[in-house]
Amino acid sequence: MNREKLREISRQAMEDMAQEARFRPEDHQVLLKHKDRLLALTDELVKAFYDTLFATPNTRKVFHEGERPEREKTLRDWWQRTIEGPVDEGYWDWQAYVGLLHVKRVVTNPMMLGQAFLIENVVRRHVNEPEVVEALGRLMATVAAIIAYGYEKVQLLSVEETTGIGQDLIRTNVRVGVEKLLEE
Amino acid sequence: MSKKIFHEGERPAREKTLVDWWTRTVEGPLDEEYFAWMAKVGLVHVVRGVENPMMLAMCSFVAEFVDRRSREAKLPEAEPLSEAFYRLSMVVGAVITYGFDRYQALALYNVAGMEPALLERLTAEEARRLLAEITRG
Repeated sequence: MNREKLREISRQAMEDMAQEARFRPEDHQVLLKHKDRLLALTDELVKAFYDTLFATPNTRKVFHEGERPEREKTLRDWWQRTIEGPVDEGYWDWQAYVGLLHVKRVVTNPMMLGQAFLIENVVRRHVNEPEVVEALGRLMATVAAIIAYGYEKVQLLSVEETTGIGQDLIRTNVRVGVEKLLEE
Repeated sequence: MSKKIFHEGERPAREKTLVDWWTRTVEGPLDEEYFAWMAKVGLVHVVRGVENPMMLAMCSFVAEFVDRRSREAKLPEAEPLSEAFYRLSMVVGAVITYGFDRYQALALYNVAGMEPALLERLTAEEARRLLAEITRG
């Protein structure tokens, strides 16, 4: 197990997305075109992001005492790399890595999706050109899909590791089990 | 990839489901019952093999569609309408994703005999192990 697992998660998640909603290379050209305005939002974005996380009891619990400056730096780096690029396979693998970090820190998918919305919303209020809104929308949907998929994948891997049952069989049994729940 | 989900001739039935969802979403009420319905969609998705990335892509598509069309129509309140829809689509996406994850965990409990709390701990432990391997690799 190594970086291949990250590639598997990011590739699978992106392939599962309908093409219309998936990030595409032209989207990054749009972000680059508006690079200066987008990067100028960094401070506001970082502040809004962590203010809301620390103001909400469930998300506040994720953090250790005194951790905020370090986390702010991570978000700052992410935003800069996202805008400046390259948004290539290595970038998507990194998003899968972030997904694993979320699982480790017990950051749930709803917490992550809420923050994806916040990022889009802050940007939309300042840079409201349709091409930017659409490019950023596809970017955040793709990042969110990869992170969300990582959670499911790790859940299955942990069961496979513990029980020795292969993932395909687990998936089939899960479907049958949930079908029963649906009938109840 | 998402094309594989559907049975032959199923499209009209699925289109009707989307029309019903859209009508209820616009007309409301967007109450607890509405969001419980969305959680049940997560359950249906597990059965049908609709992965969260497929669903999140379509959530984003719907919100972007509303945004684009309300701008094109030059609606006087296009901006608050779009913001409301982006927020709603993210909440719906979060509820369905969470429903999917929870129902999968519940079914794993039945398959592997693991209590959901144990599974949660094992999942976090597995992530820790994978991260350590990547760092070493």
